[in-house]
Amino acid sequence: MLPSAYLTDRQLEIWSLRLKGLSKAEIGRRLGVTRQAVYDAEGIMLDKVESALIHAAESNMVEPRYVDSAKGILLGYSPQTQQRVIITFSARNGVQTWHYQQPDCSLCSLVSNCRQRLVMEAEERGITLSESERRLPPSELAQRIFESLIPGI
Amino acid sequence: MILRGFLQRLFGWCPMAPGEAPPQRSNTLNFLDGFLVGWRNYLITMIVFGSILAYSVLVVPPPLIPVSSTPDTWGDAYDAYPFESEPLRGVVVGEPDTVISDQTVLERDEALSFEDQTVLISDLLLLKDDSRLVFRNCTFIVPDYSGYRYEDIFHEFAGVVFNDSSTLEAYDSTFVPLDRRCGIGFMGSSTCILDNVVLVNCTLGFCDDSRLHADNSYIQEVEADRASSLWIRNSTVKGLRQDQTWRSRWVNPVKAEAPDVVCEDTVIDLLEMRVVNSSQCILDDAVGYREHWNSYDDMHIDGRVMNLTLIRSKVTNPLFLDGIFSAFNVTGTEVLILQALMSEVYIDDADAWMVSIAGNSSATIRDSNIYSFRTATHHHYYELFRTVPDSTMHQHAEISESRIESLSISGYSDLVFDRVYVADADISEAEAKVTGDVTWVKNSVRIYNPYSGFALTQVYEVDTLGEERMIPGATLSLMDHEGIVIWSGVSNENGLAVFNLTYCSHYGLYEPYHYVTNYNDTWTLTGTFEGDTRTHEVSLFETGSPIILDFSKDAVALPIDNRVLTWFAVSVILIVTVCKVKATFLQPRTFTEGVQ
Repeated sequence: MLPSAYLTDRQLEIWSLRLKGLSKAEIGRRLGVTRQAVYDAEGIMLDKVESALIHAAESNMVEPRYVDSAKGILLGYSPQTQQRVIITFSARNGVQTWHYQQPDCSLCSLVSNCRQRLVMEAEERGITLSESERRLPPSELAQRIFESLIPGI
Repeated sequence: MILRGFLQRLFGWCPMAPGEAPPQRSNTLNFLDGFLVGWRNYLITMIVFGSILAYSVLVVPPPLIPVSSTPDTWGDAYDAYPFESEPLRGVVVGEPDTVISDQTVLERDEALSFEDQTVLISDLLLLKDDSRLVFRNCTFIVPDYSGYRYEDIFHEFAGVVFNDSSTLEAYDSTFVPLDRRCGIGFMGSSTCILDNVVLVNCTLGFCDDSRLHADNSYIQEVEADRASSLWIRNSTVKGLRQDQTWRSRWVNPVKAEAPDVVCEDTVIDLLEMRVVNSSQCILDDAVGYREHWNSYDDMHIDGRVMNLTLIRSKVTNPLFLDGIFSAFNVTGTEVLILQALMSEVYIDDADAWMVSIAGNSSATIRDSNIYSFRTATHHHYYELFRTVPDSTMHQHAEISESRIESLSISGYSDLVFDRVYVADADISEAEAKVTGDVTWVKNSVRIYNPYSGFALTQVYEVDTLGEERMIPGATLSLMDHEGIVIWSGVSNENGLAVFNLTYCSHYGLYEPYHYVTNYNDTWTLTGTFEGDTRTHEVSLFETGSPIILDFSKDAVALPIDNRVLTWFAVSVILIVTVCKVKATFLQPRTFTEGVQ
């Protein structure tokens, strides 16, 4: 689902800047609005992101266990596969579901696409990846990124 | 922690749900798998590449023009060897105080002593038994060559000869020749003692068990023969030769013993050694200054040779080697003269001023610079070989990537060249054959004796060249100076042709035999290809082989080598067939072929 289906362009802009760790005052200066306006927009955005994540979990028969709408991430459990599931929300990738399993990325034709998505998820959240990490199979790269978003995963 | 790390490597996050097959990567084999569904594409591929394979095997294009580099030796001419010889100061000889002009024989313990005078002996002086000849502060004018005269086959004595246990003692004296050269011979168990003596143009010849004891002397030449024992200290010897002259060459060219020679603090200008009796001589930079040097240890001669020991002494020129019934292996070094009779010579990466093979000898020379290379039936002074018919003496030489400044062909010789540069050549009394890649660089034929007769057959290769490839099928003909075609042919599939031409001087060549002399003639080789004509003049010692006829245009051919084409076609056929077998028989098909 495209992120614009959940947030307006302005909200997506604020969302991206917030994920990168900018303060509300800084975002306001950059966008030419007041800190209060950013504060108000953020409240609306977090509700919408949480709704999107919950909605995506329900659509995939996933039971939500942990939601961090500020980071745009949901950790759930799929009774169908009996494994954990992570649902992410980002300005560039929108809503994306990640299943915990034993994948073999060397056989998959989508490996470069998958890696590119993960790199964007990391960049949007201000997570710095080294060159060696960028060359990891996407399944391992995802683990590195999600570890920094959900401690103890 | 370890278990967690292992699980992290085993498990991971993926957009695909568990159990859902990920989209497979597509590759060439997958493409082939799909391409080979059914038989149509497979058969078309087989027909196309089978045709290419058949073409590449059956239609052979002429080979590309080979590119050969010029051997390194060609640019490095070996000049005539610069003999560094210290000229003797002039020796003033006054009128003799004593002249002995009659034949004189000293016997038993008789002694003839001279002191402070000039002595001339103009006829035979023979010392026998324990007799002595003593010079103190004298000038001794020595008669012409001692020992046996060359022409004397009855072995009569002449000159000054010491036999039995006789002794020559000379102190602070000078020996000069009566004529140009002179010599003193020592036989039996005779002894020569020299102390502060100068011998001008005087050769000392030692044979049997004779001995030399020289100190502080200048000796022009010493010829050590048989089992002689020589001890030389603090002296200069211009030439030290083993078994070369005097007596043994006439009566016993294959010597059985070796002289024992010790030189201490001495300079030897020229060292000549003979290797005999099926010996093997391996040379590797064996001469020069040595603190201690022994001919057996340092020359690796397996056989009888002068047992020469140099102590704080040096040899200033390269070795002069003379071999009979032996084998020489000279690598990476320089020799002055290598003279082989009934021997085998192997020279590699070496320099030599002269290499001479005779009497059924063979030579293999590679990557070397030779100033003079000679073939002959036998060396002129081996009289015994005169009893053997010349026609039984065949010389064979294989020379490659070398340069020869002067080539002399004589006798029955077979020369096989491979990229050899010959700066000058001559021939006399020969029946010879020259084969292979050779470049002659000379302008005139030098014949020492035009009436002696010779025949030299050179095998010429003709290369017909296009722009990039050799040209097969060029028509060739060779005409003599009267326009008579004496050979014609066609270049083969590799663009090559071969013809022989025999150059003669007073040689019975054709039936009915009459003497032919044609070595000064010039022949004309004509080549024709697709209307273009090329000519090349052929003459003795001027025209090398191969002869190049360059037409500068290629016959029609694919711009790719046939071998590449063959391997490509075979590879494709094999790969496609393997894939077809796999796709048809080994792998269950999951997609429909339109059966429904």
